Amino acid sequence: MSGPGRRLPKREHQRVLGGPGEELEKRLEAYLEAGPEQAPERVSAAVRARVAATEQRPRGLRLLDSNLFRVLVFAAGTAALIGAFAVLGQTLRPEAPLGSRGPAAASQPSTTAGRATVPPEALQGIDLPRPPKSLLALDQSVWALLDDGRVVQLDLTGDLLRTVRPSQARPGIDDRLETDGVTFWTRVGHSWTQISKEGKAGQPVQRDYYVGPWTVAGGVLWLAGDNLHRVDPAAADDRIIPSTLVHEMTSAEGFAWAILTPGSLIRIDPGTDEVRNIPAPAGQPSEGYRGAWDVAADASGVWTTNPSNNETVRRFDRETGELVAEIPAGERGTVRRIVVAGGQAWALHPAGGLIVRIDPQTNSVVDRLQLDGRIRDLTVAAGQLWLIVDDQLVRLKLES
Amino acid sequence: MGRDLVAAARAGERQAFDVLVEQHVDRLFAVAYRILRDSQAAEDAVQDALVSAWTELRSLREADRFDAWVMRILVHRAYRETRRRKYRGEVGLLEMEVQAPTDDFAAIGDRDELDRGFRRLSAEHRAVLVLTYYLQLPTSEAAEVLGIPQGTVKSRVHHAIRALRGAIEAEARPLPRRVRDEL
Repeated sequence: MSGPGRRLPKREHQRVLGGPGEELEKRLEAYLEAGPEQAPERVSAAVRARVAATEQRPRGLRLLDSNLFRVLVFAAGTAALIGAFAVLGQTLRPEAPLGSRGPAAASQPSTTAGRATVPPEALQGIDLPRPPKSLLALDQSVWALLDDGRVVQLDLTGDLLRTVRPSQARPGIDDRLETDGVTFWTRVGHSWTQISKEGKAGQPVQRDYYVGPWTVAGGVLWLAGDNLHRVDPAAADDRIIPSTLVHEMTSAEGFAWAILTPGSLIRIDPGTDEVRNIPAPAGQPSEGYRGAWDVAADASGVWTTNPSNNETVRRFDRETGELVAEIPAGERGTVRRIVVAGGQAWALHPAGGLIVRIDPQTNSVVDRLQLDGRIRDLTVAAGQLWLIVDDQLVRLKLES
Repeated sequence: MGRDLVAAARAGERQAFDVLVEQHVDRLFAVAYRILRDSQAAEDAVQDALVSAWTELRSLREADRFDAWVMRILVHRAYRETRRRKYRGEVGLLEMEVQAPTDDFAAIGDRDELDRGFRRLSAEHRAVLVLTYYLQLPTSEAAEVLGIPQGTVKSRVHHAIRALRGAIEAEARPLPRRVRDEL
């Protein structure tokens, strides 16, 4: 390495980026190493001249160069535009008869549940040997994947029961836990390992091709990257299922569900490999920028977030694929991730620390919780919300 | 030393700022070139970033953060430069790199392929790859430079690598017959 700048130790760098074995990453490093590392002399000279020129301007004019001035101009312009539109809207809007309600208000579920800010003292922290990356509640335990590739089992009070190291693989940025309801699997870099409820790790399945989204359904691993692979560890079988690029995957009740890159939803039957397209809700596009973003499923159905479609959450029947409900869940924050846990659906805006709880009984938003921090994962066990907020595992008692 | 220089420059000492320029210009140019893949655009972005740093220096609260702060300004200038050139229809400009004499044909072909793929990425993807793979900044510092959360840096790296892979493969795929017939 001869490039300028402060750098991470090689080992740390590879850990962050997901392993040294990636041929493309090595090629990219070599490619970026090539190229100029010194600026032509004229650049410094030009900067000196321009800086000197700003000095020679009168102080009042120098204010025009500052970002503060630009921000003020922008704010004033925006305020003027908003004012103009408001006046125009009042002028053009027909008067509604007293007591009448608009059609949208009559047909849509309530989204008026207020946003409650969760105070830090309401969160009960649980110390782990390393920062957690992924969570899973199974029977009377909570499992957490740590950033060094170890998996820990906790009892419902948060006490550590056991630690499992499923493989020696180097952790990657996409590592997480997935369950088929009976056992669960962990991904560590390019290695997938099945772990029993008793903490017994199976033989790791290693793949050197690129894998992004993945899930486990019907005892089969579904690995999506440049192709969608159906990997049956028992039969040592690895087949490609014809499909376009997969954006996200999940599984429930024996089926694998995937969002394809254009935003459409499909269901795959592991028994027959039948791929079924889930049609768009009537009158609405299901592909492109208004399509699905994330998908989660359980017995209650299949849930997707659609951040570019009025920030809605859609619920589909897992047997027929029909749209059961379209729930406006967003509120000044884009809900992107969806998790189903504890019999409820949880739409998340991870970066914004927002959790939107949706009740499947009424298909409506029950409440919105605002946390101070980035939410990395969520599950429910023993009536408590278990969360990874930034790098910390915390619990939050749920109001029924 | 660096802290004193920043403090002096913030107090309005132009000579101190000139020293800071000399200390940082190569690094900034190297990064700008790798994001923009064009020498002239990189020069423009570096100039604009440094002049902007001079006019905004008073807003820098911690002198120790000057490196990350000026790099952040540069990345935003690079974004702006990309947009400006796009609107002007200068996207297609390709600047050939001078190859080292020891390069064989396979290495040149490999670099060409990667170069075409890299140029197809968005400026945001190119920037995050340059910061993590070229400067090899830790995630926390890359996040500070880009002004995004650490988790977003990781996911952006992931998506950038994925997009790069897709772009290279798209380059390698044969054109559909209908398109070929149009050529």
